[in-house]
Amino acid sequence: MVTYLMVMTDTETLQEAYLWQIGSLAGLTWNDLPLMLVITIAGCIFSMAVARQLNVLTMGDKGAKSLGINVSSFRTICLIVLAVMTASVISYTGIIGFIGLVAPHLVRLFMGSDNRFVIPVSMLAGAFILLISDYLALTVSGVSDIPVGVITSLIGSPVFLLLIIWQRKSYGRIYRWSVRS
Amino acid sequence: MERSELKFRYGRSRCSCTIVIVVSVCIILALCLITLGLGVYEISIPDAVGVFIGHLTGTPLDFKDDHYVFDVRLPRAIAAVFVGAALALGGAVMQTILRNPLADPYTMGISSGAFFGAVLSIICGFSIIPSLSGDAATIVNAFITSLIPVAVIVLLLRFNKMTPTVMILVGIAVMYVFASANQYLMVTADSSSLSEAYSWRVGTLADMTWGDLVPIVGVVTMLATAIMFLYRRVNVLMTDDDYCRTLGVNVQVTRVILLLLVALMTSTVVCFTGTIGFVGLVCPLVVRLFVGSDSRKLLPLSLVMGALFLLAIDSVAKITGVNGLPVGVISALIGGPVFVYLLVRRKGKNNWM
Repeated sequence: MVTYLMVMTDTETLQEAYLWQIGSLAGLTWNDLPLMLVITIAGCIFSMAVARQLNVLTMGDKGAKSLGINVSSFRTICLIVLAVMTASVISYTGIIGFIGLVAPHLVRLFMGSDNRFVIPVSMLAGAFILLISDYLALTVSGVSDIPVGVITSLIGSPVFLLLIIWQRKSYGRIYRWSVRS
Repeated sequence: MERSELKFRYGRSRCSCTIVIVVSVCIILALCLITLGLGVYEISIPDAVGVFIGHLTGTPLDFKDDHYVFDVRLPRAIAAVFVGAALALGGAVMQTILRNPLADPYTMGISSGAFFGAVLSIICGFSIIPSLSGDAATIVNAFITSLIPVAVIVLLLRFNKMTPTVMILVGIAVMYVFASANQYLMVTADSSSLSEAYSWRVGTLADMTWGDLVPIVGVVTMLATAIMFLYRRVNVLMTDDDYCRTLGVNVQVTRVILLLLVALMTSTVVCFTGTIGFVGLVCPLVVRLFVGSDSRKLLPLSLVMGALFLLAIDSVAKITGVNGLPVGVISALIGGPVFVYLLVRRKGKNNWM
């Protein structure tokens, strides 16, 4: 349906709609920050608190159940918290991709898979990556204003490809998690 | 069950499958004739059929009618048949060899690769073969760049041993790389090029000429026949890799060959029409619901059903909206909910095959 609407409108509206969906940090003011900050900090505290249970969850549903975690409700709660956290950020900035995908895998390359360490370090790594991308977006683009979402995809997608190609046994292969056979 | 009884049942199901194929081909031919009368230019269906017959027998009735029916609508109908067949067959093969019900012919990154070529031509005005320009440049660009992701995956297959899951992930990663480059080019474009590029991506069967049809029909026929001759290998590849080896099928080589055939077929189709989604995803799944996963029945039936589906959707696309809509919009509108319904319905069964 979005496609239908986009195809039916005139060219300026199409461009505006298209640019809206790409993530950009431009146009953020002090007023926007409090809501984002509160939800993000709450989400981060929650994640660090459940880090141990997330560790147990990587053993698979049956293993986690036998160790006393209510798997489906835990998963639902985590997903809700994540969704709220992500929504609070994206509704201001638009979709900035690849940071959530690439940062944790890079951190795991160096630190192993223990979630008690991976979660806080990923937070810092994500913040760092976005700051650098924003700096690149401002300096490299020169005259035209390139949204930061474009830069994160341009950098993040080759990194993602390389991560998949160079799997290391030490930190666990990415694709193993999806294969249960 | 006795062997003769098994044979009898299998023969009967193949027979009913053949009947369905024959009936569908008749419906396709009838729909081709009906769709000659649909569209913005006002002409009734019996008149259109009369014009068509008149052209064939060498006595054209009315010059303008004849032009619209024979030069605009008939190529479009034939293109819909062959494009739908190619996409659905490619989808069936991809789902089988990658053992994943979410695979479609674009899984290897062909869609964003082709879009990259189109964007290069539409927005940057750059053509890979320097002597072309305009539409021809878009088509050739899209064809060449759509094969790059496939080349990357095939090269990686030679160095690492890859399971289907890794192949899908690599395909998705390559798709992301091209999608990010496309995004960059689209953001820096002006609004008219952006809307032209966006329309290309949605996928349309309008502006098909007889000249466009020659490569489409030729390539699709050849490659579809080749793929259907390999149906036994496709059947075996559905099972585990180790079973395939014990049955004497060289897994890597067969997979690469099938991938290349599907990729060539899909690239040829995509570079003319744009990325028409959901046909390659939904048609094979629906056919599988009725027929099961036996490639001997699945491949021909999904070929025919894909052609019928796209022809029907194109007819609908021609009459909706003010000036007709691009096919990709309708296929997404229909395909999306059907896909969700299929996913929800399958929740109970673990083994989709």
